[in-house]
Amino acid sequence: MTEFADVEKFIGASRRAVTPKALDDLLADISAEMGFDHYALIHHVDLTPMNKRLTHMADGSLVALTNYPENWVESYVTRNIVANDPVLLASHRSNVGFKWDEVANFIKVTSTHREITRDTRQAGLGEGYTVPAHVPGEANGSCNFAMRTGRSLPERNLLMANMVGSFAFQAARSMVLKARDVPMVREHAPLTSRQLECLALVARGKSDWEIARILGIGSESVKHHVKMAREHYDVPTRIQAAFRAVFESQLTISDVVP
Amino acid sequence: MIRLLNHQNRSAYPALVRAMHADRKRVFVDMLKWAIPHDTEFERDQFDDGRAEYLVLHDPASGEHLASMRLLSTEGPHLMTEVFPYLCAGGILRGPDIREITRFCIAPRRRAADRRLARNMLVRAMVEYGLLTGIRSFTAACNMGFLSEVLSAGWRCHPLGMPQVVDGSLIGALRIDIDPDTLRMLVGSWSCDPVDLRLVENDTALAA
Repeated sequence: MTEFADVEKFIGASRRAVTPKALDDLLADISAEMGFDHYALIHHVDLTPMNKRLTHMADGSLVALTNYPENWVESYVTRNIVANDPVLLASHRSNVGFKWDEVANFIKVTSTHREITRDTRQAGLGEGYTVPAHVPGEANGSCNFAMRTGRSLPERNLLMANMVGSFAFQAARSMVLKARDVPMVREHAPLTSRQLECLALVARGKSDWEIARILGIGSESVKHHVKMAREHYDVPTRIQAAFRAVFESQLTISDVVP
Repeated sequence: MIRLLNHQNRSAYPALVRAMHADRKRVFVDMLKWAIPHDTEFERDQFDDGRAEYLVLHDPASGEHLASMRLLSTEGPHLMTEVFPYLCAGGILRGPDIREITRFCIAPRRRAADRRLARNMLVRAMVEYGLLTGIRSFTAACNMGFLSEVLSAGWRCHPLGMPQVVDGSLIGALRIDIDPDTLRMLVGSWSCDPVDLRLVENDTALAA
């Protein structure tokens, strides 16, 4: 079979998969077929609910399917590495798949990042390829393919991995969405456009007075809009409200970085 | 309001057509740096001819162009036959019930939330237009960086071949199938209120 026929077969089967276990098996098969030793399909959120019976997917908590070495998964979750994994941080800055040794092209690598990379290698994962899964308005995700330390990436199948990773994420996301009682997106009224305008300027470090001048409204109105936005997100500070708006893709980085 | 523009009514909306081509220049040439024909103000190419149709979202009060897409018949030459034939491993999909989507453009002036709403309205109009006119599938060459977003709409979307690197970007050909269920699939972050889609000219019949 050609690579494309394999991809089509995977897409068809992943759509029909009803249980997380079925999808996990499909992902294991195609990862091995492409020449990868390990995979991790995850939402970039607190992974504590993860468990081997995959109830975290069946109950709609989060996307997480992996065959990474068990010790590493445990350590990854308890140390909350997801929040500081250089590979995942890099995936937030890329739209398409990248090799793990290209991470420095996307982020400034710190000593903590180097420590995590070292621990990853010691856990038996060497080279890797990560396919970002950005869905505006939702938590970030990615499909990570990894090699046992000392083995090389299957270069000729990286384009295929891009397709498989994206379709696998959608299949898993759709499964999790269906299991939820509440939709993934907040249902309450969205921020008004004035509130968003104010938050974008808050994120640019503007004071109420400056925002009032820029928007041509009164300082009291600005205070009111920002207060309503804080209450909307139930956060105590204005900067947190601005961050939440960016996280929910109500604002993008380009809105807040002139 | 979303209006269908075609060779019959395009000349009645010169300002809107100009605004669309100007936003296409801003988005595709200035921001995305695509190497496509343009002048200092407008982006248009050989497919913007009498056969092209457009779905255009605009503010009826101000006339501002908010978002648009170009729909090309797949029976004549279109991008998949002329520019990206190598993206379709299994052959190019053509037929009277298949349209190609190109130049999907969201005006860059608004904020992310407004742009997403514009995206949702335009996509909803596209599905409704497809259902009303018997279109079964849309095809499109898509930057793979947007694949997760496109798939998240939940509709039935299939690749037509392996993606390829084109001018430094990873591009793949996709097929989106439309049926009455598709509208129900557009939920969550893809939802919007029913759109005001104008496919025919209400005024011309009265004037005649």
